[in-house]
Amino acid sequence: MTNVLLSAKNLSHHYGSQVGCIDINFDIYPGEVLGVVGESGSGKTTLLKNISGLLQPSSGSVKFDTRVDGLKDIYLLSEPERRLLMRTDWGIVFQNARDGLRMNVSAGANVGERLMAIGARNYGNIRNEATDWLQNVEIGLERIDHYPETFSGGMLQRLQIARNLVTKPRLVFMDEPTSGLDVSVQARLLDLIRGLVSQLGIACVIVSHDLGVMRLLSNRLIVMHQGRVVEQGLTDQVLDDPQHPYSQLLVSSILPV
Amino acid sequence: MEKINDDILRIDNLAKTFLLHNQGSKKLPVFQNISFQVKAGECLVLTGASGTGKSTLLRAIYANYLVQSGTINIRHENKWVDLASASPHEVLDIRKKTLGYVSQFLRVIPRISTIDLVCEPLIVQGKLIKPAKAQAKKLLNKLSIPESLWDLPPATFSGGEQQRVNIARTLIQDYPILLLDEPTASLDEKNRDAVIELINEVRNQGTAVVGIFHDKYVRERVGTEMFNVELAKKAA
Repeated sequence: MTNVLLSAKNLSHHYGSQVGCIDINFDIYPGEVLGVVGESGSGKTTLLKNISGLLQPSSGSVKFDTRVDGLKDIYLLSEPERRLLMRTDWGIVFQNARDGLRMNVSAGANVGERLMAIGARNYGNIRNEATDWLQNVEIGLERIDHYPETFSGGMLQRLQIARNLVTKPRLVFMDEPTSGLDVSVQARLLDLIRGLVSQLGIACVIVSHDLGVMRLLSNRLIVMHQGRVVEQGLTDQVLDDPQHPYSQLLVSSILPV
Repeated sequence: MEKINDDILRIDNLAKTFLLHNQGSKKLPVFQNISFQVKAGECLVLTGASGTGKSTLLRAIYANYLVQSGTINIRHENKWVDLASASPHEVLDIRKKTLGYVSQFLRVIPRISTIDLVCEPLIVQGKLIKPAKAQAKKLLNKLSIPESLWDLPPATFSGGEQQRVNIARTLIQDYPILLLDEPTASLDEKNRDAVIELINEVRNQGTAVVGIFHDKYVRERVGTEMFNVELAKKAA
């Protein structure tokens, strides 16, 4: 078995007396897609922020397999070290694409910027790579110099994905990447994420409340309820034979199409 | 001694009960004390009336359902692994290389063409697109899926067409063990015969098959062993 890529141990987060998430444990291996499901307020986004370096947990540890030193607690790294990690090995796709994009620079620059952040300097190369990635996410090249402000919701989300994947990260965090998009755009985006993740062998943590999205994208599933992980296992097993009362309720609540 | 060495799948004392928490914690026992072995090149047919738990048993063997007790030992890359207690990563690896499953219905993926859907297991294994597509085309031809449909997603196909795509998607790979849940249920005679031929082909190449076939005609042509789930339950 290959090395663990990210390991969360006894992770808890409290907002004052309010519970974010409690006692979370899991490992992520290279190339696998881990889904996190649960209703609003169950702690999914808190957990995602905790493990992606955006929010230091109240207790517990998050370790990442760094290229040089192996498994390291990300909150014990220096600020520049952690920033470098976030720019190179990680990608974060926000639910609201505006949170992950720079709205006042062009689409091409949004993609090129991540490359420059890791040291690319040749303008021609950067532009070529940005062009390739816009094509990968099915954004017309005539839009390369346009501001994201002029893009539709689905395009913004695809641009955000291009911006994140251009540096070929090893781990991408996605928070509800398809929510708020209409179904046909959602299908296109899912198809894209599915293809890119399997072609590039990127590991992914995807938070969503859409069980259909999870069945399509994730290998393993974590079910959260009131801040705790109540069940985890193979995606199809958790969805077809849920064990915990809450998972059973969740699965049986889907409206058949 | 020799017999044991030939086995590729060994089921021992398997028991499955559904516990429905949200319906007053109702318990639905499906089966218990199920035991059988399958050798390479055998086709074991699960028999018994509808509702006896044949599909549940098949899904349990695929680790799609969790079992309450018992073991599902499977020979995976020359080692025995118990699927009932294996980690999710082990199960995924076994499903990728050793254990194939044809469900009753195709799970359609939006926007993915039939040919890409059929190729996918090979691409995941790292095979190049061109030879993978060639293999998919051969199989789709064998199963009489017209070429005009290959580039379309199968969502709008007929039941029989979807089922054949489903079969192609699994049979494209040489799994040492195949689980088949009613693969011929909605097929006409010609296509049913094509599927029978395919099953016997892979079995002759050494694949072990465990299947559910309600059609007596199919059962008699592919089956080499029988296992009556209903009787096994009564004996338990």
